[in-house]
Amino acid sequence: MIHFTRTILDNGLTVICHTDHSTPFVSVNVLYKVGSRNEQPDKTGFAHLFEHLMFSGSTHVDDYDRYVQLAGGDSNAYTTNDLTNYYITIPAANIETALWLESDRMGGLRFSQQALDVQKQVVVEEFKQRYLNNPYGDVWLKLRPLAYKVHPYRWPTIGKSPEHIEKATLEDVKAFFHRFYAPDNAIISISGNIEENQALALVRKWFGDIPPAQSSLPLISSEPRQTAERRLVVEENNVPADAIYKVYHMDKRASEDFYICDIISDILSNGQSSRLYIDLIKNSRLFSAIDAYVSGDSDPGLFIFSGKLTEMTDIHVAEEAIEEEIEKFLREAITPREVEKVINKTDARISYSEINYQNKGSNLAFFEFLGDIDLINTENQRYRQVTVDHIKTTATSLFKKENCSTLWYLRNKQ
Amino acid sequence: MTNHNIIHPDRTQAPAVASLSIPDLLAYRQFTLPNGIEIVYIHDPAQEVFKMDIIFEAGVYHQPCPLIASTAINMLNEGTRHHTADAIADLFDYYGAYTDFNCGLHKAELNLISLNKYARETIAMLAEMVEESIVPSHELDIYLTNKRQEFLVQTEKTAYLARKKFCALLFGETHPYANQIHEEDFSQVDRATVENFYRRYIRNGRCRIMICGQVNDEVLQTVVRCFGSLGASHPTPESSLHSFHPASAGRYHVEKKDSVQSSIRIGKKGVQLQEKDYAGFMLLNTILGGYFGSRLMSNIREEKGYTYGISSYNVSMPLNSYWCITTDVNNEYTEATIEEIFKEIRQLQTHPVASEELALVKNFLHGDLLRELDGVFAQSDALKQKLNYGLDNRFYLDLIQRIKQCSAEDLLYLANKYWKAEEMYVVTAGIS
Repeated sequence: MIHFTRTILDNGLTVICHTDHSTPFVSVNVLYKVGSRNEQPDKTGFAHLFEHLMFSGSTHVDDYDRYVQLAGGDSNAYTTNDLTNYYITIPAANIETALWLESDRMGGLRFSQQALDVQKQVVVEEFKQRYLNNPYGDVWLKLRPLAYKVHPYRWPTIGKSPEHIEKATLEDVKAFFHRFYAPDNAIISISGNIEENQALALVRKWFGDIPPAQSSLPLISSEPRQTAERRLVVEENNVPADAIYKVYHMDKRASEDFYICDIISDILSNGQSSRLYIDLIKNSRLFSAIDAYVSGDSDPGLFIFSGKLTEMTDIHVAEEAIEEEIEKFLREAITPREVEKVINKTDARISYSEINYQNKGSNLAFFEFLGDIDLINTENQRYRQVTVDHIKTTATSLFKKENCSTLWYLRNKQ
Repeated sequence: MTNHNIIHPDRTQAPAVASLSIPDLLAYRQFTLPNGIEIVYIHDPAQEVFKMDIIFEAGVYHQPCPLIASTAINMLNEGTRHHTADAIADLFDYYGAYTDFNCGLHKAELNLISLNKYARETIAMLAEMVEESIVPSHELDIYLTNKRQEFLVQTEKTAYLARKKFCALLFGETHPYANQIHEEDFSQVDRATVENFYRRYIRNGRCRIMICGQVNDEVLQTVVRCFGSLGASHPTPESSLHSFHPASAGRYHVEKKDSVQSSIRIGKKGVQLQEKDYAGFMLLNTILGGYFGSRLMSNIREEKGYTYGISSYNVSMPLNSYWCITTDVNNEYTEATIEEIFKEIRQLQTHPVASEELALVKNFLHGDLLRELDGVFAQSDALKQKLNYGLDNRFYLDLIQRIKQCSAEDLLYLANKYWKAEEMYVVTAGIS
């Protein structure tokens, strides 16, 4: 059981505090409720580019990293489709350095053209390093627009193309900041070696005077129900093996359905005793790697099969084998042991994730973002409530052909 | 919602920074079983899980031909005299435990993380894997086929090609430290060779078991019962010493057509953990490329935007060491990047580091070392490595002191001693 306090300041900032005396550090985790799903279709990749600019100086801070390092801290950030998360881990005695830095950049940035130009270039290199110069790196650049036609999940956080990043202007940066970077659009979570009430008092001190943005954020258009199967074949990739991806629309992270789908994916592919591993890697040897997993997005997401074929496998045969596994899943009984195993694994996974104070801090912020912070202590119950009947009903509607997008990612045949 | 008086904090001044504490080292205990197996553990009663590492003297250095050591350790969960691979996987999955296998240059490891409530079951299976592995051919064949494919994916990456070339140059193509793997090696692995290696270095070899987390009586008794009953272990037979055959320093290129970026590796021999310059060199390396605010990052990423990242690091190995700068850049910036790297090195050889920067990096490094020792799991990992050098985590107390005492003059001296331009290997992989 993880103890925490949750307070909303007058300016709308949500503050979560959790004490863990097993570490000499504290983690200051600031989550902004903005991700690539909040971008315009002609300016994609912007939320992530903006994350880089958050390290380029704020009103009273010329060099963010320098102060973090001087205080013995370490910081980083990541952007997803749904959110942008910044964190500092720092010796507990220096927590105010972290709060000063985070509050200053929530209050106002230095908007410099030079910083923007350099970070655009850095992000373009990141685009190349991770998505283009990397085998299978561009799969999601192809798969997202196949699975989504309307919702902004149709582009990845890095953006649709380097050109979008290159055309970002300083005006875009300012507008984005004023709209999304404000206490009423943020969650701060403090975890580690500090008493909860003391942490709250310090957050109040450093963040209490930052005015809210009170932005009215436009609704994100939801993805219409898919009514026909979609397929895409991408040929002549510089990869040693063909790959196949089959994705199905499922419900959002905060839904009951999510837990059922997660269990389905675990029965299929979590561990070397799972069905896909035994049938497709060990017995038929059609695949060298295969995985089934859920995306866990805050809007309705995807259930994903991804597999790499062994050299001798024909892509048609590989796809039929996945479909056969799905049919078997719907047709045949799920054993109580399979369900028990998944529940045990989930319990263990949750226990392991509670070892680290920084993990706990970011998990608390994430569950608050989803709208139910108590999930930090109740998620394993959600899994336990899932029955074999739930699994069958959900799987039947999930794995419909017309709900599926398939990508064949084929190697260069020469 | 209650109304609170709004405070306007003074943001014009950075809050005062407290000096950093020395690490709080957790006590470890050790004992040896009658059969020679050494147990080292750190107990933290607040945990409900434990981690166990079984460390064998069974790394790449001892293998008769490529891939044997990594294959032998990875085959441990692929079948024993009493359990098939599927049954072993099912047991660990059922109890929510994770196993992992690592093969290093000298050591090979089997790791387990498990909930305490299933300690008896998971530990017993671990012991069985060590004692009764049968290296079944079907599983071996699948393992090698899939590893070969992973290898082929790696060879598509310029970063992998540059690293491979760099190691071959530094240690010599055939030295185990270079660990050069070729596609044809995968088809030449022979089951009998793997099994012999397993018998000699894993089953009959001497191992050390590190346990951390909730190491209660039940865990200890189970370990003693399961591992104490194994046959007597023998000190690992000395492998013949392999001599190093470094190539001449200079510029080397690996062509990779159609690559979007080039990977650069620049480096040479580094400094070993037990050498007196280790602490100073660690500090020097951090200034150049060992943290986010380093000189290389500031210049090549934050000023010029040539790369998403550039870093440098020093690796200490039992019989050697290396130091290396690594980055991926846009093809057109390759030459400019190399030039800037040497400029930054020369700068450290000719101009003393300003006191403000020196203080900052010392603090950063101190914080980083505290982080390396944060919590029982981190301390156990740190201790595991130090024991290989006959040291323990008190090493850090000394290291932090030495770093504190290091002066700008010391750094100038070290930069000149270790970073002679004519000793550097410069490797690029990509389009020439």
